[in-house]
Amino acid sequence: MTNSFARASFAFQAGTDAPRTVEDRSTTFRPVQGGDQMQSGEHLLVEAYAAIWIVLFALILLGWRRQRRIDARVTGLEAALAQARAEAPAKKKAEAS
Amino acid sequence: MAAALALPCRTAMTEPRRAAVSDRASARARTFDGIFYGLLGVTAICTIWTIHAIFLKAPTEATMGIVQKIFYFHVPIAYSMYLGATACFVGSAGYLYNGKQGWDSLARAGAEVAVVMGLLVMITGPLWAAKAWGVYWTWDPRLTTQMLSVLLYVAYLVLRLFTGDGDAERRFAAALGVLGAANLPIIHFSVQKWGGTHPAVITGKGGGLTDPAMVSTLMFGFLSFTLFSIVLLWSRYRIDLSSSRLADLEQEALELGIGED
Repeated sequence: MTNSFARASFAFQAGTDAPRTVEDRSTTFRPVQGGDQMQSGEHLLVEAYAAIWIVLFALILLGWRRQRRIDARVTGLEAALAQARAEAPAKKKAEAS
Repeated sequence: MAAALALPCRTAMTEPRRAAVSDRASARARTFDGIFYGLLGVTAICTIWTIHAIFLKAPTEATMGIVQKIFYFHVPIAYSMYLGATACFVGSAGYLYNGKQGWDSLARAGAEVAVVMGLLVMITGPLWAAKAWGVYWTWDPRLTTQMLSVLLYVAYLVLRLFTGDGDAERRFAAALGVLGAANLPIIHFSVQKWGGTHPAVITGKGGGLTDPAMVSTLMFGFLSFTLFSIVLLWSRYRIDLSSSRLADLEQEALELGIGED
């Protein structure tokens, strides 16, 4: 099919046996049989590989960010609690007096 | 991070004792951090070497061509899913036995790893199948049981995400984590018992890897993804423990009348 298309194209450019109407230049696109087997192994491999690393790195990055956020909150709360505990006896004393 | 592994302490303590406990917890947390980052470094090196081996050392397979190289990470990822699911089973059983936070965190981390690895198996497998079988998916026993297992662990995570964090919910999830493990041997032996189109490459007779470079690449794949699973498990376990510690602190802050910030 490709060769006949190329010949027609060459003939058209050369001016010999040139098609006169649009319909004369029509061609048919037919799929090859067993199209699934024509898939590129390289593409499939790259797709699989990309999927793995995108998912794993996204998981690691999101986990790391979440851990940092929680750590910051824990540190802040611990400091606030330590301060509150330190101030608690003085407060009690002040309330008692 | 130092505070993350410190155990919640609800009992009344004097200030010096509290400080001593906190120091010990911080020192222990720093040691764990060192081990964790060391493990992360080893995992990175192994992973880079595995990538190198897959693309530059392992020969291209004669019949399937380059797409066969998916095998070197598809199989180790499937094995990593088993590791995650096993951690979920152990954590769930431990929680049902003694109800401690650590076991529950392990179960949850294991389920997360099982879902991620299971989804990766279900992405890489069909890409290989597209070339080898001419279709992305077929209702083969191995594929079907694998999908069921992934759905089970997705159900576990959905349950944990959308229900409360009370003991009853945790116990229900733990029961699911224990029962979910029953499907693992079914996945493993489905090829031998029910046939189907999925190959059984690794068998007691040595499997279908004839070239030593192919075997060593697969072994590196197993090593890398084992380490990767441990790192992921540990990381998710730490996050869950930290979240639990945060919840305890928030409760204590509320009791002491400390504001949101």
